Amino acid sequence: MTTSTSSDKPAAKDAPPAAPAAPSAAPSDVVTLTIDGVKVTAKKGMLLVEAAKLAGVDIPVFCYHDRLKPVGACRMCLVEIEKMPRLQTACTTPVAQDMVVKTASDNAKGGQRSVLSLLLANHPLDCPVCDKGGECPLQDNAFGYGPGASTFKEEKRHNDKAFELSEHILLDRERCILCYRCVRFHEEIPGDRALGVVERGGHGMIGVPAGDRYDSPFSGNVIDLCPVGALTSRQYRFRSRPWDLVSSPSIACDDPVGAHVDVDTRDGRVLRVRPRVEFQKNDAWLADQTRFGTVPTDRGERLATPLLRDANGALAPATWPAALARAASLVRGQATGVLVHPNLTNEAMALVAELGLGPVGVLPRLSSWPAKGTLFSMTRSKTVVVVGVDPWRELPLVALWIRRAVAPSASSMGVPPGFPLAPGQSGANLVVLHDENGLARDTLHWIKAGQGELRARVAELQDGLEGKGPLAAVAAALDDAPATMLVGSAASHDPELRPLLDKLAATIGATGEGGLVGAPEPFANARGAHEIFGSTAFDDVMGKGGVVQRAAYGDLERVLLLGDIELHDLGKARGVWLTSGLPAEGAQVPAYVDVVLPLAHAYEQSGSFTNLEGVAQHFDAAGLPPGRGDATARADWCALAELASELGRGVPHQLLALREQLGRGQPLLARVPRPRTKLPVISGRG
Amino acid sequence: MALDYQPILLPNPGRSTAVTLKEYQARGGYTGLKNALAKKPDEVTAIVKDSGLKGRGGAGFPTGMKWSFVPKGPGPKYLVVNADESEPGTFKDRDIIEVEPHTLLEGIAIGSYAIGCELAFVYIRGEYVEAGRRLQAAIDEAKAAGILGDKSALKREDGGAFKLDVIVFLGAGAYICGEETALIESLEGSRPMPRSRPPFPAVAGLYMKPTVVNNVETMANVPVMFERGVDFYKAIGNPPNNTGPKIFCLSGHVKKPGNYELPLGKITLRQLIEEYGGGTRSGRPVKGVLPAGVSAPIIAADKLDAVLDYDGIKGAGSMLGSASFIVMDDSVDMVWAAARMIEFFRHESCGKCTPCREGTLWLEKIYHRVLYGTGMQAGDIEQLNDVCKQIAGNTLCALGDFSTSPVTSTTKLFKADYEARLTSIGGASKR
Ligand SMILES: Cc1cc2nc3c(=O)[nH]c(=O)nc-3n(C[C@H](O)[C@H](O)[C@H](O)COP(=O)(O)O)c2cc1C
Ligand code: SF4
Ligand code: SF4
Ligand code: FES
Repeated sequence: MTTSTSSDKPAAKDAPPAAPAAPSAAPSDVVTLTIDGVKVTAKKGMLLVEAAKLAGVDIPVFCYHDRLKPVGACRMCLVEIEKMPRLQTACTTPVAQDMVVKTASDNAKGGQRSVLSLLLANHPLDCPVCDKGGECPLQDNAFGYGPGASTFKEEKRHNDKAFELSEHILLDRERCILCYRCVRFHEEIPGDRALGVVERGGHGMIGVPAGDRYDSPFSGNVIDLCPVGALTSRQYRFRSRPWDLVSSPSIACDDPVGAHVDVDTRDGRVLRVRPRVEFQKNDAWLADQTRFGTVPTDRGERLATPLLRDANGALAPATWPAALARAASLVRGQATGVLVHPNLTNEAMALVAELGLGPVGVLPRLSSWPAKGTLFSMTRSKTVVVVGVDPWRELPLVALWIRRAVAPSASSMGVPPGFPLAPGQSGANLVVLHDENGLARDTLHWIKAGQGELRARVAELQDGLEGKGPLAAVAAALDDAPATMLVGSAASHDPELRPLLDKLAATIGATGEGGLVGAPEPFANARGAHEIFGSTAFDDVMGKGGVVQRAAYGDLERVLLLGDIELHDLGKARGVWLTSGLPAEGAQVPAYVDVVLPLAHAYEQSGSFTNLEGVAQHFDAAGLPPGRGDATARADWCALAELASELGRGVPHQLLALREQLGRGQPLLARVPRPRTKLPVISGRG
Repeated sequence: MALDYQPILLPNPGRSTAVTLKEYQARGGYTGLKNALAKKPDEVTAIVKDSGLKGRGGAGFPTGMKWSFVPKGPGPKYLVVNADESEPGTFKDRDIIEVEPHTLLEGIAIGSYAIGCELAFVYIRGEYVEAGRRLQAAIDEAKAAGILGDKSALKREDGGAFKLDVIVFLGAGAYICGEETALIESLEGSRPMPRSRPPFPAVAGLYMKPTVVNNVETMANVPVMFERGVDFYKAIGNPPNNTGPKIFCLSGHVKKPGNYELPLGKITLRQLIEEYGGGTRSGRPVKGVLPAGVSAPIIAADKLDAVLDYDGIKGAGSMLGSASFIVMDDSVDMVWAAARMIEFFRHESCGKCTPCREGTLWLEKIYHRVLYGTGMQAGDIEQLNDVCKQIAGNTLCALGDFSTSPVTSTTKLFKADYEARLTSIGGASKR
């Protein structure tokens, strides 16, 4: 199984650039050295631990991580270097011409063994009940480089076994080996310093500064970073062992960045979601809302069979054929509207457009300002302006790119391993106009402005750029182009504000070159919806002329609701609801719904999403949808294709064929790259 | 017989108030700075190199060489003076700051000029409140007199105005803050944990800018080279390896503890203890001497004739370090003394790196068991030394290495004290 992105063959005007080219190594840029007898050529400035990989030599590490700055704390990577009096840490030593390195000499091994025996001396022996067991670097290194038994007669250190750092994360202070990866992550990547050390030396412990809570939208990443089982996810804890899991790539189903994820399943059930490295999107990170909020099994048993409303008004289980027939008979020949959730796949959306059942509205309402530019191009921005949105909470992965723009010497976002960070390089100036600002630490000027005040403040900022008014000093910080400008959804809809924002963007140089400009939204496929339905679908569906209002006024008799849409009332209209969000027992279904068709969760189906940059990404099913036999939840596009057949509109029930057919009329679908491996041909199961 | 020597760093023994700017200038103060400013910065560095001055903070690194590592290009550079002075038994920097603040300031001014620094910091240990106050007062005096600050009346060799501000920063009290990169972290507002090198502070130190860290006494050595000439300076002590004056901090079981400023290499350890310190308080024989606070191996009584300089103490199997001599008479149980030192290191280990953090913890556990628990057992000496081997040479900063010397030196030199605790059944012996 695989995912691929359309950056393979850029077609759209906003398509992102290809991956940053490896710096073409001029001869003077490289050095030649010997590691365990193997001659390697490495880029100047590269760390020994990375160069060793080129030589096929494995150096054990704990504190080193290729996305974090090296600190040389754990000392696990000690190696012998000729002409150096002491052992050196491979994770902090840059390569040098003619260096001769021995990673397995008696001397080097002695150092590695010393470090390991000291780490193990205080480490609890609870591997059999530890979540990390089987994927634990400490276990691996202990087998590979360890000393054997501990000889101390004294007691091991005792400490908290399940300290609650937050609602998501537990800390086992006995297992912690104080590698500081978790602390460094928060210091460098989001920059929120959410974790620290309390006490000192051998009594040191990971914790939060006194009086604070562990409150970061990125906390889950420390679970992946922790080289032992000290940091565990409350959600996944004790649910499986790594060797029972199947890991499959997918695309985050709630996130506009199009984060690459690994979805871990056991017997087809999704148990956890972890980031997969994609330098130009999520790098190695995920936001907590994706990690902890998109695990479908978290909601218990989900609905697998369709439901039909009977004569008494009660919902009862039905077969797919019966339910599809009823749904078709409901909409056939009736004035029908369609409501689409922006987490639906491109294929489902394109099929809706193709079927042309009636007016389409997107719910929740989306911004009418799709972004221009790419995330990676933000690294070139010299100015970042944020208006009417708190990216920290609402677009967390975008916030990481803002931080990268602002603090290039701290954050490794988008920097492949082996590429040095820019030491001491000064970053972009960040100006925020909003009442909340999670990026406050990195902000040069924060102008607190609620929704109602934005017009006035933006106008003042514009004046400021001409050297006038109260914000002249602030505006002076917006001097440098290129710029990024991020706008909140509500602000993008404000008809009086929008022209001011367009002007501001033009003045500061937020053109989509060297930065991002627009109003991205926290959904997996808002951009796809935009390209497929066009901007009219972004008018207020609740407002005048919108699908919901027209239903309420009786202009529409039927409404097809696609996705996990929350809507309490539809007037007299009757609804057909395709959703993945209902439990198997006791589903709360609004009274206007006559037919419920259960959908697979995004991680249980294949399809594609278009991220905020306009990059369409294919994904395959990672888990199995609920149900068995024919009574199984369907992929969103598949349920729609079956409904189309029922309506006499034959379309393929197989993803690639469907995509190809729809792609003839819908350029976006033609842009979805072909999956890199051949898909198993299963229809209906996604 | 005491040496005939005129002290330079602490010329007013017994004085407890700060020398004022007026007094300092009356004895020729700040002429060294004026002479230095008449030379090119590179020449100043060359003179310090030529002087043979080695850092007085412990590591003994040649000062002029350290300054020459600072890149010449544009951009800020910093001089940070290490006044953390938290080595047990060390109290020389405090005397310099409290009594001779202008000597330090003049040294800072010359050093700053040499490396191109316009903002210098003095990192003073938190307990030295009075020293901090007096240094600040001296800075204010020197600014008012047009010596320091951005309105200095002094001109540089190239005709430009000499500019230097000096910031006094009081630490919050941790031994590790004396380690130069931990000190930089602390100065930046972070938890003091040493940084891995490279990059070295001279390339990327405070705020990742080129930074020189020097000890207070090191800086106080500088003015005289420019006031009376480098040849005058080079004639002091035991050149070429052991040049200049040195303050010896004497404490422990002696009659007259205190700071004794003497030329390097002119007397022996025995002379220091007997002629200057008046011998042991109890009159009992010396059992051992710690030459560098607790950070270097103990010297046993058979090496008391070692000459007091870098080479002499090295020859005695130890290190001069900060030259803080703690004398112990023969009433001291060296197992207890080593345990006390290990407690210190366990407490002061910053915890960043594994060997020191975990190793000192286990060393302390073993000593506590020996002293207060079930007692000494066969194999303990070997195990203590094994742990030391796991620490030494494997740590991020020198504190880890320091922490092993009380164990390795006492188990070697005073093995009898350990063996006395071994009973035939391996239980605790009475003490
Ligand atoms: C654990 C530790 C503690 C130290 N404490 C001090 C100190 O209190 N004062 C000091 O000047 N140097 C101390 N040093 C030495 C400094 O790291 C550094 O070498 C010195 O300040 C350099 O100045 P110098 O070249 O003038 O000696 C310490 C080193 C270590 C490893
Ligand atoms: S909790 Fe894990 S990541 Fe954090 S310091 Fe401990 S071992 Fe390292
Ligand atoms: S040797 Fe000790 S004090 Fe130095 S960095 Fe390591 S733990 Fe900290
Ligand atoms: S991996 Fe190199 S010191 Fe930790």
